[in-house]
Amino acid sequence: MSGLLKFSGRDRAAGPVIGLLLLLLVLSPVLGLHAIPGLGLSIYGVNLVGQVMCFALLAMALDLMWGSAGVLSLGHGLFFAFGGYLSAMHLLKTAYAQTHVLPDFLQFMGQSAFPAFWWPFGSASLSVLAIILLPGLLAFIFGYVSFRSRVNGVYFSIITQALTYTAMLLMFRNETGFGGNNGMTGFNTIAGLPIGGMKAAVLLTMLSTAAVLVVLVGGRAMLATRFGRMLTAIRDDEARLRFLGYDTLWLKLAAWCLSAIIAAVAGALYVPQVGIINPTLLDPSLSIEVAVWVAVGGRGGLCGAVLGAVLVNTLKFWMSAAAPTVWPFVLALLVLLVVLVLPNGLMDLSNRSRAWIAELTKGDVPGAKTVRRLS
Amino acid sequence: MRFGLKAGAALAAALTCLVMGPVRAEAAPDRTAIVNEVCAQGGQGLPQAADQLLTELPSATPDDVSWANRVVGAFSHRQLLCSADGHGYIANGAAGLDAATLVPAKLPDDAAAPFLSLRARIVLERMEAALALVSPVAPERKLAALDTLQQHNDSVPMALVTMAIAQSHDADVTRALRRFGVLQGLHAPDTAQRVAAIRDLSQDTTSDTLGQLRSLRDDPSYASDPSVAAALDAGIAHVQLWVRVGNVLALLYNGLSAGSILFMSAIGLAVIFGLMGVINLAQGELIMIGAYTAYCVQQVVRAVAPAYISLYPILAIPLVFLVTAAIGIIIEATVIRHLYRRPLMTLLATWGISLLLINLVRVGFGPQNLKFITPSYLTGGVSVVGDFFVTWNHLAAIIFAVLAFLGTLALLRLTSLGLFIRGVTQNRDMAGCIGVSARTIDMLAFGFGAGLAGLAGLAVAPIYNVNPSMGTDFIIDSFMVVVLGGVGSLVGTAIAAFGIGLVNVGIEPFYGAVAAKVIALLLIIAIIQWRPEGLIAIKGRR
Amino acid sequence: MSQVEKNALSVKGLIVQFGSFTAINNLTFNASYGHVHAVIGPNGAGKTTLLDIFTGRSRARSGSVLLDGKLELTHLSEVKLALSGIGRKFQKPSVFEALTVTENLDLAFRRADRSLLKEVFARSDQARRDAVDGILQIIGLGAQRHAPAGILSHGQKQWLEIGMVLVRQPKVVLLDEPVAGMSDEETEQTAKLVRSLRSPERAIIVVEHDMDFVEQIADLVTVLDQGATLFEGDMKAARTDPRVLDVYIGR
Repeated sequence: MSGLLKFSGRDRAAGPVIGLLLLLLVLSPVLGLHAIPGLGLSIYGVNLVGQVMCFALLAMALDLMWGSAGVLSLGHGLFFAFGGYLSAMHLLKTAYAQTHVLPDFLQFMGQSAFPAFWWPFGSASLSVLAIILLPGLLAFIFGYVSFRSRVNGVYFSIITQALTYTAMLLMFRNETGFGGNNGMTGFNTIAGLPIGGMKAAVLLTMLSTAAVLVVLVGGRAMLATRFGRMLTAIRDDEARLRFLGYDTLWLKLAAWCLSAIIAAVAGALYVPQVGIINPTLLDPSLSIEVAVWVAVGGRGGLCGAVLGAVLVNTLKFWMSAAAPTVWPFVLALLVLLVVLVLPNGLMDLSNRSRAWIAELTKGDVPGAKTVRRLS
Repeated sequence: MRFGLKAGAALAAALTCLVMGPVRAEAAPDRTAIVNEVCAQGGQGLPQAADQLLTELPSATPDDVSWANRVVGAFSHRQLLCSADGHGYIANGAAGLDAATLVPAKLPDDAAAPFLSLRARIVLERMEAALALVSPVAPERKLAALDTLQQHNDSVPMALVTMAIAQSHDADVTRALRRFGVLQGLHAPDTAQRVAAIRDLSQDTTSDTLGQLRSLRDDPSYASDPSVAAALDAGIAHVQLWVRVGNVLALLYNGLSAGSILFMSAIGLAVIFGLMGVINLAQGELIMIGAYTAYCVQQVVRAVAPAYISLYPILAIPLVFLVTAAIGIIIEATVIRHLYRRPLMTLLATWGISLLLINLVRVGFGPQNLKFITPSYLTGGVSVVGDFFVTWNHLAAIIFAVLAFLGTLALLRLTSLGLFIRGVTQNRDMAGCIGVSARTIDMLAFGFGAGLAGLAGLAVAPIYNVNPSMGTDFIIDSFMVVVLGGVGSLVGTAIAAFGIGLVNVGIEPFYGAVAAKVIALLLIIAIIQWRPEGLIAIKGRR
Repeated sequence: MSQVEKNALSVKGLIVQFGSFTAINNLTFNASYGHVHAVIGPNGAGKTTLLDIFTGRSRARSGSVLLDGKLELTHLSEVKLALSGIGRKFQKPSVFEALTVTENLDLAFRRADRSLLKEVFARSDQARRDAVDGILQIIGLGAQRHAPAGILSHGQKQWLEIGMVLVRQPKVVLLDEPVAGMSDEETEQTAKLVRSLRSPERAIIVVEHDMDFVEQIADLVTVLDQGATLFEGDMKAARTDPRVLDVYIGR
């Protein structure tokens, strides 16, 4: 039964979410470039919106695997950071072409020029290609070896996390050659616009919002095809699907690589907005937090992922400034609340609240009944 | 006068004999002769006098030794005065002592301190060191004295070294003395003595010895004397063999101690995941809480009974287990219980719990590292073979892990609780039918796993930095151990922990800790390809 | 028709072991086209293990399983076995609960001559819809065609799963306890359904505990005990065979 409720719930949310995203797409240049006198956002504000959109993209990438195929990755930070590092490499190459000053971390390592393998990142189109292909390739290799040996459920989740953790340890080393602890920073321009300026902020925010829209609409369309039903079948009973003659390895692998690429694109858009990338993006807890956003918003159908990412991150931005020591407690309690009381996240909340309201309007002593329900 | 002194010395020696029993008193140091030697040439006779003293020292009584110390000390402090007639006195304030008998004597007007040349200082330093070997001084002084002698490449009579060894009560000093004696023998003029020394030295199979023996190949006698060459080659081969054996053993031992830490941190997870199919991401935080409980026990013992502070780890064992087990039971009863059918949600829920625990501890104790007192019985160690040195704290960790392993195994295999746990694991509904409450068993099993994690915290407290976020370092490593070993197999967990520990220890010196982690992870992924069920699989119909 | 052509599955000298436990011990067994072949036996006799071997869920230690007398099955993967014409209904009903009845059947319509990629992009052509509609008729779930499988009753889920096996037109249909947990009325309907499935293009193997049900449907009964054949013949003879009685009643 819960399946039914969830389906109707997520479908109801799709329209408003898409509408809001379209509105955001229009509003960000209007507010950012102060088209209406007296009504506008700061660069910081526009940037914040863009960052949250990148997180929404990342959350959708996770939901594509978790909500649809039931495969939970606790290592999507790896692909997010991978995309981010590749994008940072392009931005550094661009900056070098303009200033002819080698990034600090390369100078520190005694290099007099970029290592040879950086050459594609001088070109924007090759960089975009790399951002799609390299994380996709990594996902393919890892997914192939894991799915082939039927690594499933919590096993898979933890191994993805171990992979991310190992990558973090590796990137913290200066010898790895990507800036170590300090990461990469000192970007100059993107698409000819100075990074840190309003125009770049508006451009990146619009790009991120558009990406969210494309993935949301495209992803939902994809999930409605037979491929989407195959993923659902994998979630419900993977063995059964195999006994029907489907080699689920390739189905999962396809969804997994797509998911990784979306996460990488999210990272690539995120890095120019924050102006730096360092290994903290590979911290296993960030990857778990992504799963929390999805769980809060409600799994499956991608709308919940967007809602969850937006709500939790807005709350996080606000609370980290207002009450930084309280935030971890709020997050922890939010996780426990969602897991124990609202297994389908906000989608459950809307269903339950309607049930409560229905009961309240009928019942004689509404307060008492509500209390009993809550306990 | 001279005769009188001699008679006095003889009397003193005879008296010492009576007191000390029948020691070899026949060649006691001739105190008067030595003092006269020094004074005869206005201090120029010091080296000869020193040689004489050293030769005669092996037959000296403790009284002789303290006399010699007194004279040497006086010389270096310019309190030894020589009269014009070649007689020695020690200045004792305004009064004086006869340097040979130490009986009060009037200082002659012409008594003057001999000139303290640089050469004399070296001789005195050497004398002080040699005397220290046979004086009742602290082991550190003796070791320092040996260092001094070795630095100056000084030789002292073998008999003196033998005497010092006989007097030594400290293992380190005895060892160093033996070594010193042997090293002296290496350069002895007599071939037989050298060969014997080489053989002796070869008994101490360390890489230091190996270096010393190898350097002897440059000695001319290696080329000229076949018996020395043969003894040396045999000695080098022997030491080399044992150094290698020692290195292998050291690697195994370090792997074992790293593995036992890994095992301790993984065993709780192995119990919880293996028996219940639940992954507890707060496992690392239970380890952290175990360490914090141990810290609280230490603080309480320190405040209440400071004399027994070294016993706090033993007192902490049951307390740590109970506290963390209680927390585990609370977690199971409030959260995990509702999630057995949704294992992926357990991951998120336990992550939330870990976040909560970290921040609660951070608020309560602050973010800084805790300071632990290491009890004396856990410091130091013993040398075994080659350069293989067994340290007590690592040995304690290994023993602790072995006991935890055996205890858990015994609990699961031998007790009725273990039987129930295995029953519930294998068939939840069936176990319910025969009157076993699956809920209670789940709770106890979870509490048990949590308690084991707490014990891991106690075990790592002296080795790791203890702070609120320490737990995050453990969870991934310990999960890897459980997966590699095969879910549900304690033996597999132990083998995997040892294996990963060995890989870490083996790789770390060459490629660093991160590379060791990367290689361990790749290894695990590779092994999962080959055996998806882990090293030890529980066979049966899937 | 020669004997070789009639045999759909021929099992020879099959041994299956789990650790030191021998689940199937040197078994020889044949299932022919046009028959409903029941496999019965006490718990642990190796019935489900036998079906696991046919579907690639467990691996044989030795012996051979031939399909149509030529295709060796013991080393094929689950997917290859399914595509070569083996269909199985599991003991515990396994349908895709979040998908509708039609969607379940549509997914089950997996044609062996198509690659997975083509299957993903295959359009729902008339042949496909007809096949699904035909099965809906057979299993009697026409009215529930748009309901999610999760809300079906236990019996309906069993029928849906049988339908999912049938929609691919397999050569061998394996039914593992098809009436477990069903009401008498549902059992009756299932018996009718199974009898109606008998066809010269199909061999049907049923593992079941319900003896009356077996008597209604089976052309041939094999009694397994401790991984080996104890008896083979029709159900009436089985009911009076002293060895069978001994196995069932004697313990």
